Amino acid sequence: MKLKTKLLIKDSFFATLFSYILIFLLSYLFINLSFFKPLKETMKDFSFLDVYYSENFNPSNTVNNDIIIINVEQRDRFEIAQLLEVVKKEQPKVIGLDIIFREQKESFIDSLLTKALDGNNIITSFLINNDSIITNNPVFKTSGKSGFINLNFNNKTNVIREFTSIKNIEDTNYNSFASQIVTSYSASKWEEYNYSQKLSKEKVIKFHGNYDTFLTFGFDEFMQNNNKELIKNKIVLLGYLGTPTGNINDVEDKHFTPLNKVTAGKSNPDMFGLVIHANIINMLLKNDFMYRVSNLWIGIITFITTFFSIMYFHWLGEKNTIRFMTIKKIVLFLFSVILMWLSLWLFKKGIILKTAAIIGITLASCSFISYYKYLIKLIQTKIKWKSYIQ
Amino acid sequence: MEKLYSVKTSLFFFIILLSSICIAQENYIVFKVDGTPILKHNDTLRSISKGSLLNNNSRVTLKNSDSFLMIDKAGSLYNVDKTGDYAYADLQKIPADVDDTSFTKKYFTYVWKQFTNNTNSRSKGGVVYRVDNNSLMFQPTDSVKIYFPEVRFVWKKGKEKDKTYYFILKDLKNNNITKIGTTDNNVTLFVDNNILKRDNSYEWTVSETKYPNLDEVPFYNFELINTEEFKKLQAEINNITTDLQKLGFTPEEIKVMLCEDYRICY
Repeated sequence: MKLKTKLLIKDSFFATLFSYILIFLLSYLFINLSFFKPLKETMKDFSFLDVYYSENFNPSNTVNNDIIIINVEQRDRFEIAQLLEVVKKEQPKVIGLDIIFREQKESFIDSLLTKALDGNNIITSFLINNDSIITNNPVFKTSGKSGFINLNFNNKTNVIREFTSIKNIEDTNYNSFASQIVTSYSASKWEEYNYSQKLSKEKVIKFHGNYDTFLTFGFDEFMQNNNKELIKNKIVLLGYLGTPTGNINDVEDKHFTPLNKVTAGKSNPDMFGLVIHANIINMLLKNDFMYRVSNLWIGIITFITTFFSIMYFHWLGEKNTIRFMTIKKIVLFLFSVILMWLSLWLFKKGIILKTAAIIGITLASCSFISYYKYLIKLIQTKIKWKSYIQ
Repeated sequence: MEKLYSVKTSLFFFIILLSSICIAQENYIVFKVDGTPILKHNDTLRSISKGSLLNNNSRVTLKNSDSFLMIDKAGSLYNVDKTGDYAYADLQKIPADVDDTSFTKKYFTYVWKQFTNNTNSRSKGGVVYRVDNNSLMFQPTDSVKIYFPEVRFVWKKGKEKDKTYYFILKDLKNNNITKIGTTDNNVTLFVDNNILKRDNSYEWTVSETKYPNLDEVPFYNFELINTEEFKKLQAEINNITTDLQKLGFTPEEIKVMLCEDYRICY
């Protein structure tokens, strides 16, 4: 290897390390200065990969007809009991209730509801709230299973991107609502896909779509429907989808998801909790998961991109000419655009590669090249130091 | 023995055939409907609704601006939007909806939009819209007493010619609800002791959606009075009529005024 090439590699390596030290110091300031807090808060919920859903990069030309959602709207317990009886009559395989009947009301109507809730195929729900459990009133005790309806336990972000299948509280394992539905719907699939092991950690939700990509019915729409038999052997989810169904101004049980059209800044929540559960169930039934590239690999990729970018710019321009500055800006721009394309393409293939750190660190490192050059020249005045930089 | 074997074989093939017919049925489920496509199923006619099952025995008719989306067992979507009659075999020929725009094209279109600021405007208007069904219903007006052998319900129609309106009539005695879908702006019902009965009260409304929340939709109330009750009102009507005649109104104009202002239509 030629001496010049050796020197280029050596300088690129040291320049990379030098830029990392500077980035570390700057990021330390960024984290600790309250001046940047609003910016930090804004970035907390942002992920570039949300663009995949919000800009419709995902072609959702299919509908999972194993999942049918019925909106209970603002109906009272009597009407919900009636709906349940009608649904049960059509023999769906599983009925999931994303509703909690916390208190007793009128005893007659409650007794009707208790009767309607009875069934091995009825999955009820409860909420884990700071290690305490909010559940149905004991009068609504059923023979079916029950699952927690918390979507995730991550307090760092308001956007629902991940879900927890099993939660351990005081040595007791609790299963999520979606998991209970899938085990009841197909215990064989649960075993086949080894979900007990696979879902022991938080998983990224692969979203199929909003409420309009599932077979959804309003309360009257279902009760007056002549084709109720279509729910036979299916999963029927009962819960709230707005009044009327899908009302964009109704924010009860509505959450932020990556499907939100506004990827950063202030916006309205976009998806009802029940639809998020439906998305999780859809993902589990299809065994269609997202795989996250580990931080170690992101670190390695970042180092490689930084190293080669610095090497290229060292090789390209020994002086800060206009030509050098222009090419540098174009190359870094193309690098960012292509890397973002790659991350979205991988996302489509089910792989999550978070490129924000890779792009940010690479761009910042390249902007520190002139500081490194200055440092080398300063060192060369003190000691004999062989460098590619003249 | 040979006969028994042939019977068993025939039975086996019969079961296979029967099960294949059963499997072939329920091939499509209707996912979304616009307008009122008609489904003919074993000599019965009804409008297609979400969840309708389409199989070998189904025949679908689409008029202007009718369309529906259906899904097969695999969940693929099919858009049926052309006017005409569709036998089941015709439905099977419709290709599934496929988004064939390339991923790279979508991505660079997005990048271009970001660079050219060609994104949707986020300007907001500080306004609240009040759109309610009151503006749709014309006649009969609210809280009227009707003594007439027929009732003509008239409502406001939008610019869309083929838009379907849903006329809803609620019988207040037994809470029976009659719903009629029509692209017109009126419907006439006769007091024939079938839907409309004398000595009974009703509520009516018109909705632009097929399944409106009936708790939130405003209704107009009317009462179909019997002859005795009309006779009781006759004295009052005569007094008003005499006064109005003196003012120069014709009998037809007086009837309209009585109906609109005094809430007695006859």
